Amino acid sequence: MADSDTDNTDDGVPRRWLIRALVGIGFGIPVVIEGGTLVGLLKSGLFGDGDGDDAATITGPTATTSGPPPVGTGDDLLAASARSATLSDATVHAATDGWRFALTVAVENTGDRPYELRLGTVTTQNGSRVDGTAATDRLGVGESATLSATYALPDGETPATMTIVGVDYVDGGGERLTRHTVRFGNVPVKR
Amino acid sequence: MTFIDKFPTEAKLVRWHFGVGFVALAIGGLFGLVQALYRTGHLRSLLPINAAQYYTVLTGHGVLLALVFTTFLICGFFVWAVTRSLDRPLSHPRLVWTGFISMVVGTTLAAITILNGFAPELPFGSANVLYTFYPPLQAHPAFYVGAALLIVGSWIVGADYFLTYRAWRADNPDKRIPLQTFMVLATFVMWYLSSAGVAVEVVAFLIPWSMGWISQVDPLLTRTLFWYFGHPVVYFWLLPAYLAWYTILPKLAGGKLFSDPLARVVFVLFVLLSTPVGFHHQYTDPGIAEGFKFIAMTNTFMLLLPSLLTAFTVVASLEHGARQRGGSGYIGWLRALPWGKPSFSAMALAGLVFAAGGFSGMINAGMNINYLIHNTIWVPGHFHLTVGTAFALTMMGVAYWLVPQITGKRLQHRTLAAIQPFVWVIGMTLMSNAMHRGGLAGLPRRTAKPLFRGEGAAPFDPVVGTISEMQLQIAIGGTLLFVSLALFLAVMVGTWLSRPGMGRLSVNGSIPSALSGPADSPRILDNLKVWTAIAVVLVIIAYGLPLYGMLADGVLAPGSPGFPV
Ligand code: HEM
Ligand SMILES: [Cu+2]
Repeated sequence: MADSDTDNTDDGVPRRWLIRALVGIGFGIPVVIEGGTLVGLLKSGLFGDGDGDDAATITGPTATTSGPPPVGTGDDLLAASARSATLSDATVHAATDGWRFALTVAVENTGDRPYELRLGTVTTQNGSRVDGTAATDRLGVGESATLSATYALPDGETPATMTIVGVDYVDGGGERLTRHTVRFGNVPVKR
Repeated sequence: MTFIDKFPTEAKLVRWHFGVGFVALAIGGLFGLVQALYRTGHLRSLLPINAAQYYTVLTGHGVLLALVFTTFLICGFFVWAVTRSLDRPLSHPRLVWTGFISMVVGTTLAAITILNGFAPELPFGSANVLYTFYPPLQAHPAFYVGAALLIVGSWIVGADYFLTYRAWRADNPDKRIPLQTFMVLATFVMWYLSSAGVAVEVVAFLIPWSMGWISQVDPLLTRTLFWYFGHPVVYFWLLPAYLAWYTILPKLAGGKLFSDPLARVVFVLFVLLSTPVGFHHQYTDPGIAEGFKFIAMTNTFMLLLPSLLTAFTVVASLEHGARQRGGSGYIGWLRALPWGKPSFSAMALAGLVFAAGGFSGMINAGMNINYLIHNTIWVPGHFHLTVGTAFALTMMGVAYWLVPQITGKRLQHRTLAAIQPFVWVIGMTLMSNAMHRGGLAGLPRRTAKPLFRGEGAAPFDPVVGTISEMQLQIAIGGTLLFVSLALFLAVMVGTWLSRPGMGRLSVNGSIPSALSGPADSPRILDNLKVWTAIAVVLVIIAYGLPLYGMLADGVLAPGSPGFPV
């Protein structure tokens, strides 16, 4: 018995050009991709600055590390001011009827004037904005309050930043507003 | 005479195993595409899942592909290999059907619990525990029962390989075991030895725990039992691919296997060394003495030897084939290989990709350098080259050659079939290359987040490229892979549904004997009892003391209650 498997020639169409093209790109693309990676590794390994990274890190869309440090539970949202607002809980609840971002902030008026804290707009990692309205009452000096708020997020998105507004009640009846942007660290998603 | 005409019962068994395996491949592949797009943030809003369901998809992908697709394909392929090489029907086909049904029932149970993540109205509860089902993540008991039935089913199927061999031996007391049967039996010796670990994990711990009969399990002990099985399982996937590369590929290339004895040596080495290496998956686990991790590392590097031997033998056989076909020159002979034949190109490309996977595996295996890539997306980058291509693409090549022989139908859509392996390799190059680079930058695996907008990217430090560029490359690669998979399935469905007798069956199932035959090797190679005994001793050396340490402080302690997911 002839041991030939004439699978690809017996239907009359040799398809020689097709096979040539397939072999060409089938081997060509991997060689180009892997070769490019090898050159990149060598460049970084031999001519890099020794940190293991190269210019791509700084120019790429990954470099958004400037600004205030991200906060997590236990951190003070107003670390830079005289008041204290501790983030005591921040969780995204992935419920079937929608995603909700729930947070609790313990506010203490450690300043020398009456104070009020308002939670504003949350911006998600994907850039959606959700407005908020929660605010403390007017807190006298030394008073504290717990502020809870819930934001309905688009499905699958998690909070990136939130604006908060502090209101100082100045002597004589005026208000002075200070706006802060808080950056969240990793907020856990729970079901 | 075609296989189906000579062994109709066995052909039917192979068909059913392949059929179920391909359904798992189709669903698992679709999940793969969804993951690749979702986690990279491309077309995310078009996908019908949310971030929590990502883990449902990921569990389905891992279970259906790494556990279900592989096991069905292997069990079916080995039915063919044993029957063909012993040239006699199975001794107890009903036993094989029993095993098959056990595997189908197990798969169905597990699949229902996984799909519960999308449709909570399905029976049982959910099982978003990923295919490694590490405690304390806890699935519904039906998931664990399903996993156990899948494994036990494969044991039952395997039993008939041994029974059929015994019947053959009674008729042929002095002959050498035919090579394919030898490979099947060696693979299953290793499989019985190693899957016992996961069976103990599931039956003794996870089922009672998920039923509430025991309140806690020791996560370290159960992980250790899992990885006791978890490394050998990769050779359970790989050795069938080796069987195809050693015995079918040279013939497709127009030649013969270079050396039968070398092939036997390779399989014996795998029997010995596959199991006492599981700790190389646990380098970062506390509670295991460094020394045992070190032993696992040295054993792992010794395992390179049989793979390098395989590379040598298979390439030598291909060169022999190419020269038979008129090829010449130092590398010019490569052009004489039948690249247009999908069965050949799929297996040959799978072998080449496996070589690349071997290199990234060496990084994984190094105890110190492993910390660089542990739990990063480098790891999926690695195993899509091995199980995801070396196994999966080889089995597609096997299917192009074998499905006509087990259905009696001519392969349809040959042009699509000729294109398919190349599309797979291009897609895999893109996806895996970016995954490896992402892993070097610290990008984690198993996460639904794209992690490149906002501060998510701050900790990442790409060496080559940028995170968003890698994410795009993963998405494109994953899409090409899915296209390739669809081509494969179209060819299979088209062939299966075509009318029998459409044109002459152009495939020839005979396999020529090796250039250097079994008579050139010592008989001890065939004595699987000896090799099994040595393998058991090596396992005791590698695992005895550490397991004793984990058990001595209480079998269930230090323990954790379950976290149902
Ligand atoms: C259509 C082709 C495929 C695509 C697009 C694909 C895509 C992916 C992606 C993106 C991941 C990483 C998910 C993460 O860590 O977050 C993954 C994981 C995985 N893939 Fe694939 N894959 C494909 C085919 C395969 C095949 C053929 C196999 C095995 C036979 C396989 C086995 C696995 C396993 C075991 C995991 C790990 C799951 C886990 O971490 O629990 N994949 N796949
Ligand atoms: Cu391993």
